[in-house]
Amino acid sequence: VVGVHGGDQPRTTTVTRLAGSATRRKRHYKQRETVKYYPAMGERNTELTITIAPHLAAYAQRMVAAGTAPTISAVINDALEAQIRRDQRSRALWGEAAERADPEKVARMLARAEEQRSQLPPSHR
Amino acid sequence: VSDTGPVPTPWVLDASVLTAVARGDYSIMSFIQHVDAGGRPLVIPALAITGASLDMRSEDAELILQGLHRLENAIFAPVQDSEQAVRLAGIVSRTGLDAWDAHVAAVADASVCPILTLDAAKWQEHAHDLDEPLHFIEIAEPGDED
Repeated sequence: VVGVHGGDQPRTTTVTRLAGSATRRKRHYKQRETVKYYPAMGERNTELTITIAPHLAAYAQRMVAAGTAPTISAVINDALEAQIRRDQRSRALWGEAAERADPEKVARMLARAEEQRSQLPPSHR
Repeated sequence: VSDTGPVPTPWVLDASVLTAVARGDYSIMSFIQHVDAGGRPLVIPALAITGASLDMRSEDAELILQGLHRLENAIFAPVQDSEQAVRLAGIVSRTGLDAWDAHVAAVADASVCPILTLDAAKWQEHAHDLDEPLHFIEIAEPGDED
């Protein structure tokens, strides 16, 4: 499932599949589609070769060994899904600010900042 | 040939501004977005994020602060190496500022940029603590409370 590469370079770990049950070693950065079915998306999974840090690989392996995840691919998929949710929430929070801020207050703040900027020494304008 | 003008002088965000952002202050967040959209670089010292994050511990605060990375013109200023770390300790010792404020001061001093703040009194007090004076822009409105 996982190969660890050492030598002079920083130690990295190769996981040969992102999604699906079986795993096979492949050349780095080779990407191809498989016919595996991923229930969450209802479409073909993409098979990738990725390189991750050894401690992350070890963590994923421990999750699989403990039975908290079916495969390393599932661990990676879940992590990416969680990151997407966090990113969406973050965007929503900033978007909410843009929509709900008092435009007049923001305009006053911008004007106040500009006024102070114009009074700074030339080196700081 | 470029049709863009000169890059405006960056502003260094201090922990008071970032704390307001972390608290979800719509006005401050929108102000930041406007400044960013206008093309002015906003320098964000890493330790100022630490200070803001300490002040406001919640998942949403964390996500808002992480969202700063999406600003088009944000520049993150880390403590890059041991030399900078030692210099930072010197500024903490010399000024009595918290580490995050000292990092803001160090970044503003090194980059010759003004500090954007909600707490002018603090920077007024420490404006002459370093070899060169620190300059700041206060965006709090009269009557605004911390």
